[in-house]
Amino acid sequence: MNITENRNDNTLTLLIEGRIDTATAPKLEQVMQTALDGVTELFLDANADLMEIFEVTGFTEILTFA
Amino acid sequence: MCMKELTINARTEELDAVLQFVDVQLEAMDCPPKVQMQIDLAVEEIFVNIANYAYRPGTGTATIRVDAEGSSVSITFIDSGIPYDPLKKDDPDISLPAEQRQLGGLGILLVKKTMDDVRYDYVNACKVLTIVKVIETGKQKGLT
Repeated sequence: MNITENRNDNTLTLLIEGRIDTATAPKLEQVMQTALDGVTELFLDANADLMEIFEVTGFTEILTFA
Repeated sequence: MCMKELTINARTEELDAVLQFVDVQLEAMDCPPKVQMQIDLAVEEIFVNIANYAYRPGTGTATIRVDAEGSSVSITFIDSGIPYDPLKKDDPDISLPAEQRQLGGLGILLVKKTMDDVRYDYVNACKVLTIVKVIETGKQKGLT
């Protein structure tokens, strides 16, 4: 999995290429913990299947999706 | 009917080998990519749980059996670890706001929501967990 960060003022875009799974999730978690300082708007550019996982687990009620 | 079986050390490092084994069978069935993603996610959840918990603090093996029958596939996970039925636990309440959410339970919830059938059994001192998914274009269970 590759993560590319693109920061523009308070907006951060994370381009995620490859699979997020048990082995790669810690890497994404580490990026999230360090890169979100001062960020008020986060964009995740990833496979559309990720959206469906957010729906099943109810995170579409917690987060705002555009 | 076509059945293939893999016995492997139940360690998270073996996840790629398990997924590769399953994906070869799914590709032979012309499984659509979205359904393959759902099955891969379920396989990961179940195998990683076996690797992390079944033999703790020791180690052991898991057998993964893939049965392609007609338009559906059954994947069975067998281990001789600590008896535990993951289907007995209540699903987490996904309507709760973030600060009221408990950790855990979402993986098995995804398995239950995306697979057409999930069964647990304890036979001859072995845990047997089976997931079934119908693979048929245009008639997928979907996630919504």
